Amino acid sequence: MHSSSEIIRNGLWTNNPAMVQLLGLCPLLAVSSNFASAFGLGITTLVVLTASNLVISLIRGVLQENIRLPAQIMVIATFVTLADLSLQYWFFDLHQRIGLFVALIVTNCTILGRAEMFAARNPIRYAVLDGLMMGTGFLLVLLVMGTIREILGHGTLFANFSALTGLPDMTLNVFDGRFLLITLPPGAFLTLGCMIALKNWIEGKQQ
Amino acid sequence: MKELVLIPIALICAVMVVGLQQVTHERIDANQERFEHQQMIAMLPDPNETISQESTLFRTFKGSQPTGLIVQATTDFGYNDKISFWLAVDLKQEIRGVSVIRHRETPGIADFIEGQWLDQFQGASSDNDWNTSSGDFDNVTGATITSNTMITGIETALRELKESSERDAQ
Repeated sequence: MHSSSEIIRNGLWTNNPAMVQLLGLCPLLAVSSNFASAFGLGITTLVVLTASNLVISLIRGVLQENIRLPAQIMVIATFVTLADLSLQYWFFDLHQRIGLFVALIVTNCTILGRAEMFAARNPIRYAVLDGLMMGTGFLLVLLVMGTIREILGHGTLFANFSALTGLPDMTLNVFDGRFLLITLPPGAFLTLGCMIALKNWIEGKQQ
Repeated sequence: MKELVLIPIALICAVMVVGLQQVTHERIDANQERFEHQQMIAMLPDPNETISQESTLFRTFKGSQPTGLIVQATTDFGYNDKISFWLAVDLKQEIRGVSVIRHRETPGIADFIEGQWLDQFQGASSDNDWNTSSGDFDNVTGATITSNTMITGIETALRELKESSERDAQ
């Protein structure tokens, strides 16, 4: 059986979807070139993951083994579509930037993975907590990568964040240089690789 | 038969998606339009410049051979309001046809601008005499302003089209 603290630790650190399970890398690598996009997609993924975990846990009693996957994918696709429409409704500018990847959330293995491995076998409150924590773990990795890549690649931080969220402008100009490699896909792999290495190093020290 | 539970699940999913789409689509379309407008404004350096949509350009083809252009033009000097019309020209900038899309001219009196009266412009070019009282094109008695506006509007659209094509060619 699971305890809440175990679920929290799993999602945020021990079994982090991006750094340990290495799931959902396509959106992770694609939108993490700046903080604003990373934040937008991270939050959307968090919401979809929590909502789909909730519903799948709710209907787990009526689902047989052979129709479980189609039902789960249907639920996930529905929530992704709802999130996509909501983004276009409230945050159109944000949707212009990350719209392509919002639709791709449905193929984010993290979500189907959590649905099948956790939500379909656990009570609702644990499933929701798991969704929230896995989503937060994913969001945090996105934010760290977005911060690093925006500072090194563009020399700014929080650029466009105001336009996307309606908050006042808080663009920080960190330095004038631009490290092009970091903004390109290889830069995303390098950044993620460094983060995983750092995580493993910390864990090695603790033991 | 427990598999049939998929049907209600699918139905609920479909209803949710269609429902939200119905609720949101108007504002989403408006958002899209506003975004496109912003992108247009972003190309203008002077913040005081404004944009009004006066013309739209289409290219016509037969197979892959270009046959000419169709442009949407608007004249501001109708009897009651603006008159918008399509103007089709061939590659020699001769008129292939004119067709009025939008106008608020007096019903009954100005109906001719939707009919055969426009046929007289077929084959015309900027070489014609576009003078409204002594030129190549007939006015309609009792609707002088509408006739003159159409003749002048077509000539203006034709001239602007020709000038912009010549600019493109250079």
